[in-house]
Amino acid sequence: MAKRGVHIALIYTMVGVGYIVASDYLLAELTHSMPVLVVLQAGIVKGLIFMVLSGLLFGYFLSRGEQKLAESRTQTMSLFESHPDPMWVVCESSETILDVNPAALALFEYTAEQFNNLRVADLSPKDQDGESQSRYINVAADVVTNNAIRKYQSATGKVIWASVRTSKITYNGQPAHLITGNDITTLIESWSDYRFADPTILKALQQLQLVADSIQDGYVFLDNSLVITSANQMFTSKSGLTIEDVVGTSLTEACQWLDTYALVNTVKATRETGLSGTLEAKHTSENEWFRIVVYPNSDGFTVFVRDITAEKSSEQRLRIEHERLMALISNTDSIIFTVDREQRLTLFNHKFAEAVFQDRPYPPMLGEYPQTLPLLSSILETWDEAVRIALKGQACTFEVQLHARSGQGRYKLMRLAPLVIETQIVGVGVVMQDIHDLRTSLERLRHTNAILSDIAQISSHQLRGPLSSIMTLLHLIDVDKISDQETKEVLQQLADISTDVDAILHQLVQKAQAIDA
Amino acid sequence: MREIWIVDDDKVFHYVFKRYLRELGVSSPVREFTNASEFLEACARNGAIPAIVLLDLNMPGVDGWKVLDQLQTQGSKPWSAPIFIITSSIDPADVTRARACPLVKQVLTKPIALQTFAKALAEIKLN
Repeated sequence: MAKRGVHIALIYTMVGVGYIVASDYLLAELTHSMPVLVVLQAGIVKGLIFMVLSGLLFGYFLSRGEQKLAESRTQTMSLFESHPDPMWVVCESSETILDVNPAALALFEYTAEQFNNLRVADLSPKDQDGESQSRYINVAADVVTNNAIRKYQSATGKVIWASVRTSKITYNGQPAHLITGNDITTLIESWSDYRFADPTILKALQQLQLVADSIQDGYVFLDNSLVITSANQMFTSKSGLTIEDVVGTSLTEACQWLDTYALVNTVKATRETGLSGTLEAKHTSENEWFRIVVYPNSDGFTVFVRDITAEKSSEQRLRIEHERLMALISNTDSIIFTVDREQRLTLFNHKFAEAVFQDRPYPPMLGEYPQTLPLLSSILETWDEAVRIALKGQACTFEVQLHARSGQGRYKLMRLAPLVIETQIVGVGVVMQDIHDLRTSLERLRHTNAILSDIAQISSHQLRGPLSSIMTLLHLIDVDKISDQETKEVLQQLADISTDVDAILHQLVQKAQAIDA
Repeated sequence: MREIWIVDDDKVFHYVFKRYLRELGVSSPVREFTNASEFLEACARNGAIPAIVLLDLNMPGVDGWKVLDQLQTQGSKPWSAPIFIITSSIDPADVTRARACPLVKQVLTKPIALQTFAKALAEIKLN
């Protein structure tokens, strides 16, 4: 437009100068022999002609400019009015609506008069204060934003999702924002309705949806104000709400059982560190446990909510079983402990702790290597051999003598057995039974048995040898040939006594053999 | 005529066996050993093989068990004379062990009556 004005001014100047020069020359040629009065009158006529021509020319251009401006305004208004996308103009300072097109009126279900009396915050859902709308406009004051998605509410309360663009304009001489919105409610609310999407985007969306559907956890997207901007069915089904219910609310509103303080602290920590944060919370009334994992991102946070009730339940069962096991292994005189494959201590009973405590002023610790303890220092070779066998899957038993620093060595029966979980050997269980007293008694018994065996040996050979000689000699005497009655009786008694003594020796040997057996 | 060897530290049995042999009409010469070492020396020195050996198990020094071991493991010529174990032991384990030895013909437990002795020697041709 400015360029055209310059052209007009240039043409006007050149034509004006040409007229003045040409008319002055022609007037001088025609009036050089005429009286002065005529010359003056001719000059006045020439000036009047110039004025008339200039007035006509200005009037023409002015009229044409106004006509063009009117045409342009009509076209702009026509474009604004007939544009299929909803458009409205917002005053930058007062945030009141200055103008609106019929597409926006149709979308928001207001009349033009009603719409023009609204503030921008009135377009937000009734449960929001409109602050986010204002913030959005202020952020977008100097630039045109790309496809930001906002949530609105129509006059009849219908939720509207729109992809909006904002640009800074001057409207009736005051700074304002022109907002163009594209209604994407259908797309947002029903991902199955793909009528509006590009095939490539559709495919990507389908794949994304498959991934999202395969996630067994509930998840929500939060903006930086912890307001839910999106959620999946799994999340809403857990909270007994619909997606429409939860979007636009805060996470603590959607999950009222959640400890706000703990959640805020976790979110704060994730924002500061850039790392994910985890907290566990119990839905007391439902008696359910959830693990909440928060991932920070550039737009806010992604929060996964996993139902860990079963996990907690089995954890509780395991804890009870562990307590029972500890009660069982602690209520014994044997030393019991377990080690993992790297021979680190994973479990031990009171007796083990007592034994370790005799050698040093502090108790054993989980993760410690038992072979470094003074308790096992005297049996290291046996220990290594036993662990090697047990880790191959075989139970084994060794008799060892443990030397406590504060006392005498005591005999223990050390049994090692592999610890197997789902066919994998994960460690070794060790039971050390005190057999010191038993072993001492056994040694005494063995000594006694040896003496008894000696007695049996003496009875069988040393004593019975002479006896059998006497008995054999008695066989040689033919008693019938002896005439002396008294001698006959004496010999007979000797034979009887020898037989009795032999019977006693037989009994002695039999009893000694029974002991040996 | 081959000899009958008696190996026993108890001389009473030397007397008893000689008398039994006489009563049974056995005229074979009897050679007596009161300890096993003498017996083994005689075996090694002469190379003579007796008709039978009456061997006591329980003797001081080298006992009857060692004699049996040595006779089984001796050099080139295997022992062929039947051995009768004469023992005062009433330990069944001794009897079982002695019977297991291939050189032993029979085990007789003291005191030994004439009839028992005669029955044991019945299978052996001594005269």
